[in-house]
Amino acid sequence: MTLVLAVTLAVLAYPYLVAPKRSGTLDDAAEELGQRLRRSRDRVYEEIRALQQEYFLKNMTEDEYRAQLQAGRLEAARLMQQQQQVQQTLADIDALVEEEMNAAVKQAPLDAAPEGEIK
Amino acid sequence: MADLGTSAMLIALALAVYSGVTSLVGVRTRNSAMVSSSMRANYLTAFALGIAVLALVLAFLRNDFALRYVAEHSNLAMPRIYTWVAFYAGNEGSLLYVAFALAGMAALAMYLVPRRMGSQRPYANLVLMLILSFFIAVNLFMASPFATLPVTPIDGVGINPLLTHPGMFIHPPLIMVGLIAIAVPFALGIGGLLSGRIDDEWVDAGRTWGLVAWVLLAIGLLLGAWWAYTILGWGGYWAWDPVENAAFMPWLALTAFIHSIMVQKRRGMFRLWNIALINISFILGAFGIFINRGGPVPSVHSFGASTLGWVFLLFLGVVAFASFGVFFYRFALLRSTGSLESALSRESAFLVNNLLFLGVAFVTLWGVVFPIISELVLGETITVGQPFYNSVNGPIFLALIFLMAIGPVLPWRHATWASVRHAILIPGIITLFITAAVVIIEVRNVAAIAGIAVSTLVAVQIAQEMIRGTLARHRATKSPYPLAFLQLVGSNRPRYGGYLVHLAVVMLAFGIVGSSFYSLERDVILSKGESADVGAYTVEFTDTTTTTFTDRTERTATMRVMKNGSFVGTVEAWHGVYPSFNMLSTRAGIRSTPVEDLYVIYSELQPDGKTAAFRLLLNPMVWWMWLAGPFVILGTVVALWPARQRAVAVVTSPSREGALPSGGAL
Amino acid sequence: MVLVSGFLFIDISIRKRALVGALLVLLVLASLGAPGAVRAQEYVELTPELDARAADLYAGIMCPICNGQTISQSHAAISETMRQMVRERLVAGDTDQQIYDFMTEAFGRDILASPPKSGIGLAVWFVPPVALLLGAFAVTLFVRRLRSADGLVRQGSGTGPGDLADTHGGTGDGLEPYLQLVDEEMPDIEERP
Repeated sequence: MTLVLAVTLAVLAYPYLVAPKRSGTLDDAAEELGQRLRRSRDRVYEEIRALQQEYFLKNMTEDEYRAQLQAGRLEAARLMQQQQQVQQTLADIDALVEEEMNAAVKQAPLDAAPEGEIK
Repeated sequence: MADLGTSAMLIALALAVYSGVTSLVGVRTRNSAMVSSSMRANYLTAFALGIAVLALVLAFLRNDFALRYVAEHSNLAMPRIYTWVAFYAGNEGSLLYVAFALAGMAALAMYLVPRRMGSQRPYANLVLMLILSFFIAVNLFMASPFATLPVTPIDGVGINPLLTHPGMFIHPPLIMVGLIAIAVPFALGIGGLLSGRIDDEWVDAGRTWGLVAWVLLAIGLLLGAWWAYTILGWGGYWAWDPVENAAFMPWLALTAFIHSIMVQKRRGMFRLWNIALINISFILGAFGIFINRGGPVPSVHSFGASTLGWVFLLFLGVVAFASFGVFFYRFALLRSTGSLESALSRESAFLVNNLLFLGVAFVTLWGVVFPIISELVLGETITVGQPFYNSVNGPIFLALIFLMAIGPVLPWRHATWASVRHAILIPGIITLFITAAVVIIEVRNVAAIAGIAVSTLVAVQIAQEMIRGTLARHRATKSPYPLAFLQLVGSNRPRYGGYLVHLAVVMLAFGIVGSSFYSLERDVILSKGESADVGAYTVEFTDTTTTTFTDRTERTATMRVMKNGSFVGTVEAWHGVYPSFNMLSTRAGIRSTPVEDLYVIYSELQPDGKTAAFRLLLNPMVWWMWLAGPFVILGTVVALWPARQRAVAVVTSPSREGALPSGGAL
Repeated sequence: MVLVSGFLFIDISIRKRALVGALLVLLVLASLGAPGAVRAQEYVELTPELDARAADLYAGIMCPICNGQTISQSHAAISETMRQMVRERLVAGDTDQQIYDFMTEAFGRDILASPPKSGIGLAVWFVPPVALLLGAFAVTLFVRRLRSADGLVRQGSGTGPGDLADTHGGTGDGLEPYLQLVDEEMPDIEERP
């Protein structure tokens, strides 16, 4: 019985003791967002495929098909644009941080040893 | 054994509470270690309850009559194989079973739900652990299967003879699992609301688990009908008994849910409504659990006198209050993105579908609850029985079947009469011919003719879709027809899986119409050698054998069956009397063909030992109802089968000013 | 035992209980013990037409102590005896309604499987159609509201999954390069003739 309890507690405590791999950074959030957008786009493609299938089975008129296909294409394009924007924003931030760091490093020999660090 | 079981349940309860608390705290404080620990606790509850289950099973196998539950539901003479059934035969054991099933499904759900669902996951876990804690607590503190007797009896009472039928091996556990399985999509929905994210991920997970709960309940209900048909001996399969209804209503709500979730998946609409629907489904499930164990209405299913009724009524109240509380609290989240463009469209067909299914659920609920109301208000119980349900729900089902014919072929957004005509013209014409033939041959009943007509319409329409699709594929890919058909099904699994299930519904419809309107029934008394006619069949009572056991007396009557004068086989009708249970159990002798069932019930052997009373029935088309079962399973499996992952196209982004670090595929 | 107690019909008022109890005692005595005992010589057999009527009648009359079963479904002795009563009255030439009335007089209104279409029973039949009509009305309102509110959105917005793909006016500002990529990525249609 004590063995069982010990094992149980060990299993439960493990995540607290083993250092977590990451702690929620901006990169992670952006990556997650990007992946969600990608999956949304995939879903739109799935719908388009089903739409095409229904059209070729003649379950809808040419006009309806064209309209829905166009809507789908626009949707996918918008999602792609958003995903690209997210990546661009992230890249811009990276570039900005890099710039700041370089500037600080250049200044360092002129000032006294800086107290803080720029992360 | 008792100690092991009780300890295991205590540990399970502690784990469940820990898991719920740490999920909540962890997600609020963004502590991923805590959330991870809470998930582990979730998985461990399944283990702990598994040990408790094992403890009870071992107690049965060892005839440990010190445990009251074992003494009440088994005896020394009981074959070991019935241990499975004895386990859930009573309140205490079945609660343990439900708790274990819930723990297992909760573990599976949390394991499979992708991490990317973010904070939805721990919130869903919180809901699941709250429900699980409730069940374990009730089980442990109010109805423990491990309660001991002060004096150990030498032998137990034995198992209820009605349960010793193969149908009983699967029907009750499936129903119980199905009812509690609704907790998973419910938890996901509430979890989404609490986390503030109701999006596509919820739709996929909600649909999947909704379908799982749906198919479990569907098969459970069908098995119950099959069991009633073969065992209870009145030639029927569905009595609109309160407990049957209690499992039927959540199934109806789930059917509405799995349909309208498709609209959210395709067009982002009905978000509000889908959450409300899954709430309703779970509330009805909780109501079902209450009716099952509380006994406010008399039923053949009652788990005996139960003092637990109020506990489950309380649970029902809390669930209803909390679920809609969260719903209204997060109301603003649930704005839809799409819009309904036309009154004639697939979206509106789904709306009508929902209305009708919930209509049946409401009528059924009304019928279950009315006797209670009339008793409270008037002091007089008005019985609401089969004739009410059949005459009110019948037309609604008729409308639903008709909807099955046109719904799947209506285009999204905006349908024209041209597209409707294209889909329905040929099936419509064929149906008209067949209906005319039916009317000419046998004008019996408007309801029956209507039922046949709409069922035929659906069947022909589905056949048309499948044929057209296979032909199109064959033309395009030059595959042989069978392969083309399989590829067709594989290319759009939700759709064609759905068609398979709709076909199963059509089979059920034909079976119900045939047996409800065209069956023949005769009560006769025959002496050996005498025969009686029913329809084109002649049934001769040839012999009866009597066997006496310690706990029962069995009689088997052998009947020779002739159709239109020529011999077609024998059937055996079985009859058992259990004095210690004051119970009579029968098994019908059934000769089943796709066209009709000949059904013989051995009612009684007369005191003179030479004549016996029989009930002879001729039930057309019942065979098709049982065939529907495998089709329901097949259709659901196809609909749930994940599609091949499309190769992720590596696309470089269009170039802008300056280089763009693209971290992998866009 | 527990099961047997569960079978007892629990919801009758005291007066009714006395009447039914007396009747049951008589019937039980008359049928002399053991499940299902209508003697061979007393058993009333029916013609096929009467059989069909009998089947419907059995399904419309409850067994008073069988936990919610009709006399069609139950094997109990009392159920057998009640079926015999129905058969006797059928042979005597009673109409269906007369037989129901006879049973109601003997056992009370709750012996009927289906609520009478009068008095409180009417409420049972009345509510479902009303509820359905209300539901249909609600759906129609809902449809109208959705249609009118989003007339603007009609220009080509969302096959919209996700809360992100929300409000986008216009078509294709700056989307052209993306549209090209989308066309490349889009699934191949296998059935294209």
